[in-house]
Amino acid sequence: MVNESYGGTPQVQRLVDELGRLPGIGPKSAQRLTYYLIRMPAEQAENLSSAIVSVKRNITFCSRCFHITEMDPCGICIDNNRATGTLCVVEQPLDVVALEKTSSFDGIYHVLHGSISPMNGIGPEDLKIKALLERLKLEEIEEVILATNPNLEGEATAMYIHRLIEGLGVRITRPARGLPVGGDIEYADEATLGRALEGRQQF
Amino acid sequence: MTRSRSYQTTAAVLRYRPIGEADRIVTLYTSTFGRITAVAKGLRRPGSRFGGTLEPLNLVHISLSRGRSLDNVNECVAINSFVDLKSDLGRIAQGIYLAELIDTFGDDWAPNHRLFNLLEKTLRILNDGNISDVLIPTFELCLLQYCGFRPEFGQCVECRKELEPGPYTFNADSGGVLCGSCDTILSSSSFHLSMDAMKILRWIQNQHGDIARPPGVLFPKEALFEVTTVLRKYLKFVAERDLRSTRFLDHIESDKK
Repeated sequence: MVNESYGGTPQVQRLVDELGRLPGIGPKSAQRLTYYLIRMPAEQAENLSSAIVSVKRNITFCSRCFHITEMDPCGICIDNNRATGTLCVVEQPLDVVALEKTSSFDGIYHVLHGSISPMNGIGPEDLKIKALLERLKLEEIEEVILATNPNLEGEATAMYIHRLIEGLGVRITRPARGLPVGGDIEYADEATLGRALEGRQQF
Repeated sequence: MTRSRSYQTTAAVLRYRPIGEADRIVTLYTSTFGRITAVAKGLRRPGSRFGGTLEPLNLVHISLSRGRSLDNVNECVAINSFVDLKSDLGRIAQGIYLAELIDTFGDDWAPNHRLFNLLEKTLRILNDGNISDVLIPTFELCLLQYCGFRPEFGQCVECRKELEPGPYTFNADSGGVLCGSCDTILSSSSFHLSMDAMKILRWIQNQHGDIARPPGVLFPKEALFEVTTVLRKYLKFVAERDLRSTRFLDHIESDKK
């Protein structure tokens, strides 16, 4: 419904409605963004719209690791300098981006596109787990790092995958759990503290 | 129920979902207020002051303050994180199913102490690992009773006559078993029950909510499966929707066999 008192025309309202579909963007945010875009220089607005169109046209998912990419297979999968014997399993493409930023990991990835979330109706069959098992059959993987999120759903996903692959002769590891840098011991929960103490190292 | 500007309670965390950049909307079942939903700001940040306390299935002491639409979580201390429960995939699947049941049948701002105590007790049993075959059906029957949907297995739910030895027909619409005379209409909400399944259901109801008590006998697997099936169908009928977590629960249970 168009509210003319806000200067709304059908095109403005359409943009408000479209922006409001984005996650985390409510009606007020959508309105604010819309009026910002109206005042934005035309060239900048056209660059934004062509960037959106370009992403939708040119970005796909790597057929091997399911990371977002412009070419298939992706740059990580075809990079001969990577340690292809170490496979890091993550929930989302953004996790790959975060891990790559650390420059601490030179292996390859597998993106599940989610985690097991029974209450939301997401089961193992909805994730790229079958594809992971296929890769373990075909590729020479020596270690699988289960880098799903350290929450209940991520742990359930890691446990489930562990169950499936433990008989395949690969080393299965999980990133260390513990106290975050900048955190306070006072605010850490018992599970985190327990794990941090278990994983303590020589100082 | 009126509540002051800020308030505290003991709660079980049922689920959460992300909102905004770093926040989560958390659904809790509390001892004092029934089901409540609140915003935990910054929960998704690594150094969050909530740490891992607001993980599903945790038992917490929580303090909140009233917000414009949703209340805000101010502080949260874990009473029990049920670490052993969360170290086993089967028990996680069962715990999440219990959480979904409470989320479905619990009411907002409507305290139900028996329901809260039932959840807390059952999570402790799952954590201890002393799990009988009838733990989940016992939970389901207690939940139905405490929410006002206690099914009738002792007599015909329509005419109140004593039931002849089975097999039986359970009618979800009527909320109980029908005798031969009353079971005249074919209905999609009717399910068959064998004598063995009926014995198990009656046995559970006769424990009067003592969820910790082990049965002391081994129930036939087929009858237990029937009990699970009928209870699930009744729960779905009462809730008017599927319980999504049963898919994963069944998947894990079938892997066990």
